[in-house]
Amino acid sequence: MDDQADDTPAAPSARIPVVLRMPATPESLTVARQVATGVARAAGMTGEKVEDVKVAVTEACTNAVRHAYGSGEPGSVTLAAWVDGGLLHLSVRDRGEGFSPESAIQAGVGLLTIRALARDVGVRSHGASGTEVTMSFALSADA
Amino acid sequence: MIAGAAHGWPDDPVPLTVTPVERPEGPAVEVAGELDLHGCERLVEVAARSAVRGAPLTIDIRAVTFLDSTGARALMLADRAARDRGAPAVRVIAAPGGATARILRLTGMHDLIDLRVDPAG
Repeated sequence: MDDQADDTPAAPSARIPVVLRMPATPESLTVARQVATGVARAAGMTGEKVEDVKVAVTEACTNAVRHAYGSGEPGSVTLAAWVDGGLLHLSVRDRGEGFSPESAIQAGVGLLTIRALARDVGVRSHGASGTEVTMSFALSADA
Repeated sequence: MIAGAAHGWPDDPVPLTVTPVERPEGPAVEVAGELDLHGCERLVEVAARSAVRGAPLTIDIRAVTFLDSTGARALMLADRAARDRGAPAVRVIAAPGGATARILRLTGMHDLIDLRVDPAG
């Protein structure tokens, strides 16, 4: 287990979240995972909990990459991460047209996977101006 | 294989490699690193190219360091691509325990593909 020494970097707080805006392309998935992992580790998360965060963030971003935008110009996806109340909160927001009926089942598998891993999950559809998935994870394994 | 061993940080991403090899038991595809949407097409392509009529194709994912539901689905697509070329069902070899095995269970994929669990060798 990681030793939480005094020089552990302070995790971002609810007031100032870490925000990453990236192109909604498959290449962005690695970057999104890296940022989420960095914030989770800075908040003191270890082991399997960090793996849960990595998978959940990848699932949410994959939905934005695959299902949010039409075949034209690639859109953007924004990841925000902050710590509040003993929880790591993450939000993944796209500016697409919402999931089409054809893509809904595959997107649903991603959401089901997130639900199995996160403590709380919320999905907000903004109609033609995008979808936002929010999720939270307990910082410590026993929380 | 240890994730990020060359860099010293356990969380460093390991780029995906998909390598066709010939094993005593038949053709195989060795997959290492992070398998997400970015690498799915490559895995299915290599599996299709490696499939031989009548010989079971093995996909060895013991060195995969990250897997999500899209990567798990790619194993099914690879299986279909191999069978389209006359090969029997693909055998997937995964390491016991760990995040990869958990995702295969969570997505139900362990019931849908011929999955063998074997310690990394």
